[in-house]
Amino acid sequence: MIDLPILSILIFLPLLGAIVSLFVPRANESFLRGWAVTVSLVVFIASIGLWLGFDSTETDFQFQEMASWVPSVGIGYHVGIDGISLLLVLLTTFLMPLVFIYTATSVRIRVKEFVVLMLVLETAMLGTFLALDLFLFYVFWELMLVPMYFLIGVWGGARRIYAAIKFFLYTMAGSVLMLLAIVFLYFRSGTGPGLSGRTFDLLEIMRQPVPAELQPWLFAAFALAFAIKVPMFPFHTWLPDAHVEAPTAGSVILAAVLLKMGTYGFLRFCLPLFPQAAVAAAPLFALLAVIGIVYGALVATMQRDMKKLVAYSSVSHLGFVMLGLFAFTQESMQGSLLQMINHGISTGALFLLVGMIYERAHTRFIHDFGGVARLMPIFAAIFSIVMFSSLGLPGTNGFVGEFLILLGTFKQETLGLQPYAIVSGVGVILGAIYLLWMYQRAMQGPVREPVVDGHAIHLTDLTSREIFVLVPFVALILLIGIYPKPFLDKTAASISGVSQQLQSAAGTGGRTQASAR
Amino acid sequence: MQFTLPQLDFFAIAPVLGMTLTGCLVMVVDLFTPRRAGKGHLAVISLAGLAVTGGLAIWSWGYVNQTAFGGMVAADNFTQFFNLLFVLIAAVTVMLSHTQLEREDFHAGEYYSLLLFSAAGTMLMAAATDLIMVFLGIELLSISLYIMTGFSRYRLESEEASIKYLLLGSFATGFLLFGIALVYGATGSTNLGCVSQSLGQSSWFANEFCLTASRAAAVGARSPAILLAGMGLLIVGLGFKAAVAPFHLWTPDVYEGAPTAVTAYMSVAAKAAAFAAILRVFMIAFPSLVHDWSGMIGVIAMLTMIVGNTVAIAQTNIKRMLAYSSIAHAGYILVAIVAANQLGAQSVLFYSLAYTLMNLGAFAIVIVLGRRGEENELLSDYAGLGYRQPALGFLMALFMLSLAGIPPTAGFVGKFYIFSAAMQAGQYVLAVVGVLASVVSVYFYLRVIYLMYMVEPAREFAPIVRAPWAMAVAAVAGIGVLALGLYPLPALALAQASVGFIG
Repeated sequence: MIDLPILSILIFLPLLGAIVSLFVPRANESFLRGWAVTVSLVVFIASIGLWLGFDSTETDFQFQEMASWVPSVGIGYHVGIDGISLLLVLLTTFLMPLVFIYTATSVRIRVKEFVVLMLVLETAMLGTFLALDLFLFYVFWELMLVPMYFLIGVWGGARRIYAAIKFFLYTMAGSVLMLLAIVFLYFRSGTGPGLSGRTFDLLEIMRQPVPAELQPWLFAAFALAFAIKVPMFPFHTWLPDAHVEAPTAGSVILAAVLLKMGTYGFLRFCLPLFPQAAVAAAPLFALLAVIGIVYGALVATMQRDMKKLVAYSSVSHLGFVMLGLFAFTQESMQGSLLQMINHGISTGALFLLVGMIYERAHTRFIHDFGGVARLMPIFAAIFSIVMFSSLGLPGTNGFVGEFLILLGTFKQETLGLQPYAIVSGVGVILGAIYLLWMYQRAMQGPVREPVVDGHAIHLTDLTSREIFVLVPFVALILLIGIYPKPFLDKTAASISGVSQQLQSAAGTGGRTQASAR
Repeated sequence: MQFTLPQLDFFAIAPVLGMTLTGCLVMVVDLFTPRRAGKGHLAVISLAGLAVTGGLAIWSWGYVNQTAFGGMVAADNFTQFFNLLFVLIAAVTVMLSHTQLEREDFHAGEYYSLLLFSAAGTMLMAAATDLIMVFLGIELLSISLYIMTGFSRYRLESEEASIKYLLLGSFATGFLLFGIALVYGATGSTNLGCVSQSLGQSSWFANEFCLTASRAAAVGARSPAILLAGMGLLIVGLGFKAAVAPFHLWTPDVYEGAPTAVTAYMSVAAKAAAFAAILRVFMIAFPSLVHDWSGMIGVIAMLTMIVGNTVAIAQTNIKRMLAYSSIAHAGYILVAIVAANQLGAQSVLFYSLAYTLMNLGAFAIVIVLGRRGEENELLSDYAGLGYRQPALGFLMALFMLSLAGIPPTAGFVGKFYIFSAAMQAGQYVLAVVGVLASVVSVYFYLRVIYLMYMVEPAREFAPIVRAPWAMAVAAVAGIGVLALGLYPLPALALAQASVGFIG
């Protein structure tokens, strides 16, 4: 339909923008900021075109592009999009211009480096979501670490260097074993001698089912990489450090997009490539997911630092996503995918809000605030909407996602996941507790202005720029909450392919067990 | 494709001759240069000679099964690949040395000649198909290096390093010679082809050169213990030159003490030459004993990767850190050798090229930052460099990321091929240890980056001395690192075309 290589344009336009901004004089900050907003807006508009041109009934990948890269060893440049990656790509392109607009006031030093790194990061993120060649995927996946490392390390808080290195090492440690698993799949992909016929192409590799006895090992190697990225309990310890120390822009991208790479990885690679192993591991992953939900919520309740609270709430929310993925039903997996987007929107907005109040007060401790709602009514109003979305109030997007996940998990009878669904329902309540309690302490009650170095700071309400940044978040929260159909429709066909594959794997597994008895 | 040369086999070793003659020429020209005059023209002559040598290597490209001097050296693509690599390394070193010699006032004539002679030694090591030739190449390389290490005469560390290198190096040479003797005792030949023939492996090579094929397998079978001991000692001798654990103890002191340009040279040329020789010796002479030596080398590889990467973490001097990093990288290359397959051999070649670019690039920056009497070699001297010198900082960050194996750099592609080769050979444990060790390495490479970009400098730094030659090296190496990372196809094709002698 469209002959333009639209996916490549999406992926490499930000990189091109980054290269151009390398040649802009450092002093010309306003141009650099404007340039970054322009480039990311163009990318967003292009991705809207993608949304419009996307055929919801098609189960195969769309807009595919293939080019040879290192043909002698079967490495190709292969990108494509389906219902799973479509929403994540849109989430990424949607966030970037908003983050750039927001940082006009919050990032004041080294603007040029910031712009370059953020644009490179956008290329890496889009590449990761769109790559259909395992080698290409791994290149983007690793490339993503570099700009994020700089974002945390240069613009971050007091313990930024520790957090940056921890982030880098954790992610890298997980992913190198995945690289070996990828190489293993590569050598299985052909039959001839030498390297002939072997390929890193995901679609080719998927055509040759992996024998059940090899699956656990390969599944483990892939799952470790993704579980660290998600992060699942007990691999979550890098997350509070990275989120809290990162600058607001970094936290937003980290929470909204980078964590989704982990859940995306499960959905795209782990589950379809190794269905039997995934079914076998489902109880374990459901258990870890539920532990993550409850543990993340409990730890969040105890936090005094708002940013840390939001960070731990991510552990809890991602637990829901993982639970939904490993329940394998159409509802739960679609709910998971939607919840990935919801978490990106609501947690991204929460980090922005915390960043905005931190810029004013220079403190994030809940006990430093009181009655903020009276001083900053618009702030409090937006905060409450985002908060309701995060705790899953009906009418907001969070409700749709969590409801579908719990419903789908409850329906998973073959694997017996009902108890997990019930326990994770407790997590929903805990989520309400930590958020509402924070809101109550900071926003309501008698007015208490934060005191920094002996000076009381007068809080002023949001500027029009800040409101402008937050309104799209609120709009999406309500849109998805009230009318989720278009979003679910786009994902249905692709999800049902994966879901059916795993359901049948689970079904046969269950039957053989039954017949053995 | 059989190409019969006249009795004069000198065509087959034309690149080595070019290198040697250039060295002689530099020496002679230096004699007629007044003492007070600048020495810049010697560097230019060296570079011109190197260009000719490179041309000769390209001219000699494409011959298969071509040997000379009764099977002492081979002039196949493998030889030419390494000839070109060594020409590149020598040329870069000349450029780096020029910067450093001007600054530190060495006597240049001898220096350039020694450099070129040692490069001839490395070329012979890659070409050698006879253990005696390997030995001669190593000696030519080493003796030149012993002297070059001690070239900063006003620095005590330099002299100490030189003596240390000489003593330990001689010791290692003794092991190598003893190993050669044992192999000769067990098989009746020092020629790689004949050794393999006596172990029951026939090849075109053996048929042509080995006098009595009838000595045959019986000899090898009769004294396997002697043969294994000989093989082990060969590994010790060559491993010392390549600086692999546990024969690496000289490396940090020598690397730190030697003039930085010499360190840069040593860290790539001696290593690449040693690996070329190891690849030839073990893939031609002992393919039938692969199960014996791959175990030995596999253990050494693991040890090398672990020791190199973990000890590097504790370093505070960048040259020492790069020394340990070079040990670790030797470990990665050994993994490829253990794989003992086509892909492994290719990845040795590719990695040698990638490692050359990134390591020489890093050393070029160390040289640019140094000045006489103020070496600026501590890691803390790199604080804030990314903002003081954006271009230098960016390049250094690129080299560090490449050494750490992060895409899209040459280092990543190189590691990827090495571990792929190990996976293909079924060496899963080695591959897992290797990738985990490289995660450890990320820590100390990233430390350089965070010092450059995330830490405020603790003191004022004098502006850097202009060093256009070294800067040019760093820039070209940076482009090379990215080019090999983004589009490795041509270099891979070259590596693939160069390992024809491996079945």
